[in-house]
Amino acid sequence: MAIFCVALGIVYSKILQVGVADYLPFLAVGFVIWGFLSGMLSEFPNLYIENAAYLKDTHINPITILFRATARNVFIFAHNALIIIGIYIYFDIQPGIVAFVAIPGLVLVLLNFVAIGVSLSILGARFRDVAPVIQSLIQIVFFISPIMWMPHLLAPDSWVITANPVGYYLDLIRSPLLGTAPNFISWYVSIATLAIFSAIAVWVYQTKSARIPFWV
Amino acid sequence: MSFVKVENVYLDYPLVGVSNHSLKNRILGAATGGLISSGGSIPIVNALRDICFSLKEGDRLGLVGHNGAGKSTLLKTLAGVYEPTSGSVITQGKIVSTLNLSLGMESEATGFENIIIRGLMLGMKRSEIDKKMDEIAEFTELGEYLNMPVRIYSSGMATRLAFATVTVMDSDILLMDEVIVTGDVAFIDKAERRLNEFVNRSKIVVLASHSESVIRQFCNTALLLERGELIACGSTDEIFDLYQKRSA
Repeated sequence: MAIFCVALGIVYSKILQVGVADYLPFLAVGFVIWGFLSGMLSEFPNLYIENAAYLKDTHINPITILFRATARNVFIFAHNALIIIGIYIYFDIQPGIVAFVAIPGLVLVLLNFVAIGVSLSILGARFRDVAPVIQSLIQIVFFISPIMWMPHLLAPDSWVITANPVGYYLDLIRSPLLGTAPNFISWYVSIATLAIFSAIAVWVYQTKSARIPFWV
Repeated sequence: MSFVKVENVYLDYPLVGVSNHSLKNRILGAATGGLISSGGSIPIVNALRDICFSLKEGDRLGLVGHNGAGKSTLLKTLAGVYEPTSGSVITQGKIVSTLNLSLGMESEATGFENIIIRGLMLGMKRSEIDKKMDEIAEFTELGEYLNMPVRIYSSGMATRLAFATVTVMDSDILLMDEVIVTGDVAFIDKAERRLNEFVNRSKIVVLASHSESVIRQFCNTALLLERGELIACGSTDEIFDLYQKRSA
């Protein structure tokens, strides 16, 4: 992951004509966060199929399995976050006190993904083609989200950014880590998506979770 | 006071096959008004039909029936894995099911770690497990191996570990699918004694088995299932007479 960031950081800073000292930290922090989010998304659809033994043989709440997978991804993220520390040292970045704003941002994004996970894992247990669909979606979202390119390269308020919730999630975590406060609109949008995803999750869980042992 | 009460339980088991596993086909089918669809309806097996019985403390119930009669399905319904399509299963007391003995074994974790994982899965508290750890470790006779990852264990050693952990539990309602006791000659005696204690300690036992001797040994009542229907319920002698007559 670190090698990927350095290689891409150097080449793309030339392509996009942005200074390496600006571009590489932006890419590295964004990519570490993206690795975390995409890792969870790709795990969710197959979650119950891989843990079928638990669901078929014991009385276990499927959410327990979801939390277990989420916790594992948080630990992996914490390991990869070392890359960010390396970037701080090499480029002599001091984000200051605002960096701690990333923590509530991370929690909010994580809640969003747990809510998505509840629905997505149940959907994935019922329909086996959800996993490959999500896999290709992840790839598309990676390229259309501001990870490899910086938002300010676009015209202000371009729909390319405003219509993509992942852009707001990234802003909530990445901006404070790079020393600027995230946009207020990012908080609003993330809370709004959380409400929507949670409502869907509650409905899917209540109507379908008892069916999971029959499907896997 | 522990009890099990099963009332008019029906369980329809949907057989979601390959043709029904595609979300794309489902959407395509809906979008074209069923013009393009490969799914078709999902076949349903009536795994349990109108099952009624109740158990009180001291009851040891043996489930008897052919393969596919619904014994395991009934156990899983009692365990709360399957939710009945209609009817109700009411249980009071702590349920321990040993349907899959080696469930939750992490091959990279050590023997001790696996005891903790398995114990937590079975619903023990961490302090409880710590208290019983020595007893479990001693029973397995694995010694130093308990500090090594389970992936290097032989299958017999892994079974010992799982068996020792499960049988240390205190349960109100014990659900068992076939009695599995494996090991070398010296171990089998010990394991059988431990299993007897484990079963006797439980207030209610439900045991599914193909072996007549096992059911006679552990159970005082039996229940005959055939194609998901409850044929008869009574003493083990009556049920085995009936079972032999019907299968003859």
